[in-house]
Amino acid sequence: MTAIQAAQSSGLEPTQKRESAMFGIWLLIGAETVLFGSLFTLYTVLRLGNMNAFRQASRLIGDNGAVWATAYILLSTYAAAMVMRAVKKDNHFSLVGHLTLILIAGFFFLGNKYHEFSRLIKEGLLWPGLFSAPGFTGQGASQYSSIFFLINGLLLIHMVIGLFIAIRLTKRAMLYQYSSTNDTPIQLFARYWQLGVLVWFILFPLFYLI
Amino acid sequence: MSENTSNYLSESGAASWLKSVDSKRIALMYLVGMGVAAVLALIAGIGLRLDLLTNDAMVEGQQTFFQALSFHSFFMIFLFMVPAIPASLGNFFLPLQLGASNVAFPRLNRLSFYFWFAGLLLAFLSMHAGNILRWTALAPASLTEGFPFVMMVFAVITLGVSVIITGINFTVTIQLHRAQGLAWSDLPLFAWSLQAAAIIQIFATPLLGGAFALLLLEKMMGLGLFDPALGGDALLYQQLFWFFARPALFMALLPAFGIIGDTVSVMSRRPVFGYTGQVVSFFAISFLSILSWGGHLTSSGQSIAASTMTSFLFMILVAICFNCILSWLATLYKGSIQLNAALVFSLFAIIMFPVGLLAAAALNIMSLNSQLSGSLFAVGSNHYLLGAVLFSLLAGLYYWWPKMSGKQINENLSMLAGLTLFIGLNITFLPQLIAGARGLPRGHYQVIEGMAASQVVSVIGGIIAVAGLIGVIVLFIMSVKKGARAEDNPWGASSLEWKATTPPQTENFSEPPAMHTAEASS
Repeated sequence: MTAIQAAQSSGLEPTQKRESAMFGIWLLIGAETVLFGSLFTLYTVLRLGNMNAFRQASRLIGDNGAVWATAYILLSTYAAAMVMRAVKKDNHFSLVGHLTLILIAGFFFLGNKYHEFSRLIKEGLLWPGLFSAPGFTGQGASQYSSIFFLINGLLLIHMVIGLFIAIRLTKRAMLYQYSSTNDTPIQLFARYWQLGVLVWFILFPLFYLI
Repeated sequence: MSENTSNYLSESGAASWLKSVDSKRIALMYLVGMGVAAVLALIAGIGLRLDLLTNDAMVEGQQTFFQALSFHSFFMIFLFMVPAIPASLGNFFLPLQLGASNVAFPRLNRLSFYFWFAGLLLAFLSMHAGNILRWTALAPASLTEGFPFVMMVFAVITLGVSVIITGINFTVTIQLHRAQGLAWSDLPLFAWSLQAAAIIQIFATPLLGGAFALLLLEKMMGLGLFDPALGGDALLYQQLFWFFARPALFMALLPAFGIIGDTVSVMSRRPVFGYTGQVVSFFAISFLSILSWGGHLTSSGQSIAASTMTSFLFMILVAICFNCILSWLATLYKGSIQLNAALVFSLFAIIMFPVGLLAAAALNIMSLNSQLSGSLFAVGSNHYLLGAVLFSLLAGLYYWWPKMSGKQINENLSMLAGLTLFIGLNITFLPQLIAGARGLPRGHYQVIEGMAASQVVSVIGGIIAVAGLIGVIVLFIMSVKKGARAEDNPWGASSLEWKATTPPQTENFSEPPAMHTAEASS
């Protein structure tokens, strides 16, 4: 009883706080999944209505750039997994190293996307309002671009937020502020990052491969 | 219990309220804020009805009519109904019922209130700029609107975020912050109903923000998703929107069910009848309401297979709601009833729920849907359900008022005011059901020949209802000013919130509350 009383007078117990945060991030990931899921449903509906145009447009969009983007994402997901392990084992160098790796992979990914987007803008493969790519009939290809930019855009927003958090975490990790007993922010971040990774692995085949 | 010197109300000053992370204070801020929003929306609603009486056919009159309709629907739904019970009574009593000191994420809770308030301001801006869109903002009509529409989108997204935060907060609190020894079967129905509603809050609301954001992008950039001129499909927006809006109604209904379930049990001094059945029903309602959004698309060209499926699911949903209603009646049966305002308001809700639910069921029968969905019948159905939610909210307020304020309230006058409100609401909305079934369209700015009588009756009913509501509000204010000191547990209830001091202290309990099951076994 005295333990509970002490906990109540000083706010919440640290373990309870940690468990709450972990459960909370999973619920947030659940809500985000619904949001991304709705966009993928939108993709399915549009694709079913414009099979040929989608196939044609995806051939135009897909090039080696997307393979490189996937490589960066794979690197970051490995690093995020290692970060969780490093902080649990109190391995300071591994923690800082892998956080830096996430940052490097993340920024390479952003650069890759910048190139891809500028190429698409140059080729005019954009949404109906601005579509000017030659060789397409009907509005199917422009709708492909709409949903492409929507899902990629939402993913990029998440990535940018994630990278801001990663910079902050790396700074703090360098100052030895995280340990196996104080690792909640690291664990939350790693889970959030893997959501973005998961979205990429659904997005990649849908837009570039089929 | 001894005289309480320090409680959650002790600290004074505006800053102490705005900076507070105490869920009880946040609950009161929500309650006052939502009350103001609801009263403004009510004034707009009464204005609509009065406008119909004058039968104003001028273009200017039309514009005013649609602005008032926009204001009424947006404020009532997004600012009042959607957050209503969880944000106010839920925030106040959920941690108390669990024996916890606060919700799981107190600062996020405060943020959720700020988001709600920002949504209120944005909605005001939108309405002030002359918004004429209803809360549904259906594409492609909404795409031609300008600044008011943009403000409305931002208001909706902000309010959506606020709702999601509340849902996550409540779920984590219920799952991880129960006091030691508090078994699942000891949880009051209210806590269960908040959990079931939180599922909708977390998993259906993201689509609301998503749908409105897409609408804005469609307007700004011409994405070609919803605009038929650009190859889009207007129905696509409806699919996304109703995926949120259909369960949103049940998000408001579920906590109301929880309050009534608990109130009838305490006031009839009997254990809840069919406790497990009701808890399972709450979750079934939550899941089925998410799955049955197609009910709104039956008359918009959805496939017959899809319409049949959603219609079937909705019938099961209504049957499950009736399971709860029958359980309340069975709880009351042969109970030792203490007749007071909380019970009377619950009974009014118990009378109004079946009317609204059966009307909603009629709307979801495929052959009737095309006749009724665009008529005043749908308005009547919604208002019966929301009227019942209002009665439940007030029942909960009367039930917990002694604990919240530490003051007694005039029970007899409250029951009288409640009766006035009940009579008024029925006189307002029953004629709408009838006129709608006879073909009067909804949202029409002119009185149609031969239908004037029902409109006049509706206005009279509205005025009676407002009188009742003013009575209720005045009685609460009088209780705050002059009410006699309330006992710690005036109704003899056994849930944990009644074991706190009156009014509760900031950290809810100074020592872990003793469980009633532990008392029973010792």
